[in-house]
Amino acid sequence: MRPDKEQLSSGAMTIPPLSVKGLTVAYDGRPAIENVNWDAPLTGLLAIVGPNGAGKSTLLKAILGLVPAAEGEIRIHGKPIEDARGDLAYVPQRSSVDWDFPATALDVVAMGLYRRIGWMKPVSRANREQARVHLDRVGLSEFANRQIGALSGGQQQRVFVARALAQKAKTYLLDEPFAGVDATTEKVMIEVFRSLRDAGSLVVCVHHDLSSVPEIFDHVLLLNRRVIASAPVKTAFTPANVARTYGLPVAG
Amino acid sequence: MPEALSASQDFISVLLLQAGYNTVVVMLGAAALGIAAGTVGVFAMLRRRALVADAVAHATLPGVAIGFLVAVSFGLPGRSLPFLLTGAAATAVLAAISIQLVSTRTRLTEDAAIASVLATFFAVGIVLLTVIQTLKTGGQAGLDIYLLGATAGMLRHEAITLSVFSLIAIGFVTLLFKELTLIAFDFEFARAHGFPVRALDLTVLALVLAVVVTGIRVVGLVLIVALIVIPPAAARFWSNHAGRMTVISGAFGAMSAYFGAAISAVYPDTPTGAVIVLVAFSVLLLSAVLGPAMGLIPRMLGARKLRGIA
Repeated sequence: MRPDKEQLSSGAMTIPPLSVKGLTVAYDGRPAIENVNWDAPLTGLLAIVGPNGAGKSTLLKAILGLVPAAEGEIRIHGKPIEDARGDLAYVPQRSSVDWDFPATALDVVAMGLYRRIGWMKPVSRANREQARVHLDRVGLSEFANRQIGALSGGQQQRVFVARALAQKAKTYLLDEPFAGVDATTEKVMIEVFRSLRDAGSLVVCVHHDLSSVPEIFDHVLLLNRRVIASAPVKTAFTPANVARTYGLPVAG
Repeated sequence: MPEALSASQDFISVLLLQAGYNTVVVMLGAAALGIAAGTVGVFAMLRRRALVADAVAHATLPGVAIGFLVAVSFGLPGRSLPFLLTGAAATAVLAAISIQLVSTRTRLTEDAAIASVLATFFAVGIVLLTVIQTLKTGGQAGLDIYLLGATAGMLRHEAITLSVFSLIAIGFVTLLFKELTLIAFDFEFARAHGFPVRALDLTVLALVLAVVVTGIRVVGLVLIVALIVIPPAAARFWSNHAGRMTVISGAFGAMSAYFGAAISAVYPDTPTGAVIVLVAFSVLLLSAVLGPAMGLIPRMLGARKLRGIA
């Protein structure tokens, strides 16, 4: 892999928000990702792209400490995950939870505040007001008291994003946030992610719609068990690199 | 138990706590158990631990039998409560550990692990009960109340124990409400953000175990799971909010146990556990029809309103 010039020049002074060295993760002895070396850019919107089974979600989960690394080292803002929990906000795939759960949209957003509220304390009125601000930011303030199962798929996704905003993290990790959402939701999420970027955050999305990569994202990590390329979309998202990632013959 | 009561007038006087000291003690003790079961049950249900609860309940049977045998071997009366309940708790914990081991260390899925552990422990219990029947000591006749439950002969201190325990369970659930709700709704999110998910899961399991062990005396180990599962299921039809649902579920659990115990006081031959469960089921049925959160009638009215607009 060609070293990224920009990162080389600034790398000495600044610590990447996510840094992965020699990472291998295996399920039942079969590697899902192998020897991944990757330093994330300091800020921006980054897509992790690759075919099914390329290990995109696995990489995200390994960074979060949800699946154990067989080999390698992971640093978040220079720290091991145990010391960096407050720096990360994680948005799991929407399908990973039961939306019939007895909770309102506001209840779910407030979950993003639980770490800061602390043990044994109830969610206060002030906390609920804070949560309302984040719900408003994704355009759902009038749905605050709606049962989450009565929201559309796109609205559910926005509730998840609002919960992540409530965490006030430095770096955001989202698993397929754009999968199956409506146009409004897509527009709102892009706006929110860009404002996070402009405030200096890195937003990482597992993404599988190749056609929308250039319009939404600044950076791309092309992954197929190993890193194929990682750089700004302009330089890395080439037909040749995409073909290599998907194991297709390189055209023209 | 007071002199044989009959007819509906007697039933009313029982409900109003005018049926003599013993009956009052029994009914209040049962209600305390019902609150604990309904409250804890919400989290067992939301975290999908209902089947595990059933398995550990059935797994108390060998423990009760072993407790009996140990007490007898010490020359004590076989039916001494501390021995029976300690035995019950021990084999229930063993069953919970077995389920965990079988489902994580073998290729069996969790439901298969639960079913095999439940059946095996229950079978051991039945064999031990048969052995006990052949012993030449007294008291074994009373062991069957642990299978189907009985309020007859419940003592004041047992009722107080149930109330104290009920308060402790409510305390745990109140203090950990945020975190228990979080792991039930989005386990991976909780884990990713450093919540001690294992300890929280164990807390739910420990509370379920405690409800089971203290409840088998009244409801019986075969049916105790119903008092853990049915009140939250009924409460779900009344609220879309986990907190309110928990309060309602505790109230439903208390009501079911209270009325069930009252009925079995009026008709002393009825099996207490089964009556309590049937009362709880009636509450569930009414809730499914009338409950504002997705109950049958509110849903039909809502649909008609929508059609009216269209």
